[in-house]
Amino acid sequence: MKYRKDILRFWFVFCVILVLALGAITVACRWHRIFPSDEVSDIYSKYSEREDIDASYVKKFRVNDTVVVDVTLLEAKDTNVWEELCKDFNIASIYDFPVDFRESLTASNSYSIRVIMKDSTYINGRVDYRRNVIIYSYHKMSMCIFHNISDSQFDAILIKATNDISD
Amino acid sequence: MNHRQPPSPTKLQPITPEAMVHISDLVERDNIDLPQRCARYRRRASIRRTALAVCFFFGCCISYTSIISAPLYDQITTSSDAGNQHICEAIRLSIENVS
Repeated sequence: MKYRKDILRFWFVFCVILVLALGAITVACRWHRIFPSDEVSDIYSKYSEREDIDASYVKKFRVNDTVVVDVTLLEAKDTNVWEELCKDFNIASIYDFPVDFRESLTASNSYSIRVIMKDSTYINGRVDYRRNVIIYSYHKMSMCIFHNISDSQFDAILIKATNDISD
Repeated sequence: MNHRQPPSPTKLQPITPEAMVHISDLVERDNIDLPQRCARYRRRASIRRTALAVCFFFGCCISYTSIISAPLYDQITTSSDAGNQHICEAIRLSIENVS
């Protein structure tokens, strides 16, 4: 009888420890959602107060299974604001292009990419370039700024972008 | 014909004196220490149970971690009224439609 009780106690303690461990894993994995930090990008801080721009900052957006990037999304609410944004980020205005070319640029699924080199560091004997990447759409009047991304992060974005083309 | 009835499976049969002698002989001959054997059996069962529990524990933790540790994002700070779903969708579209 005592032996049977010991077995029951063993499995009870095991279940309690398992539940605690799973709870700890949940808190660790969802730490930023449970305890959100105030960290935002400079670009987000600059545009978040504007009524005519929807600004969002996403921390650690998952591009694929291994790569995460910090992204700021800016969405202009009208054409004038969009033109202003283009000017701020040194992007050519849609009116700078010939009329025939504008149609392809304003197609719903057309996004363009602009890469701004920032700096480079040496990691394990090779140069690791850091850059800000802006992907923007004239049609949606929105731009995604990927902050300070490394070579591997940039490759992951390009691979994701070219997957659709190869399919 | 006087047929002998088989013993009822639910009813324990008394141990006959002959059987007792036989068991005593066996224990003496094989030097069986019943309490020790019982303790050894329980110790082995305990080791097997602990090993099973440890494997199950780590299996659960690893599976759960692989399920839970791949969120689409860590945190979203926004000034717009659009939901998080819209923001993620906009970013995903921008990545997938670069031309």
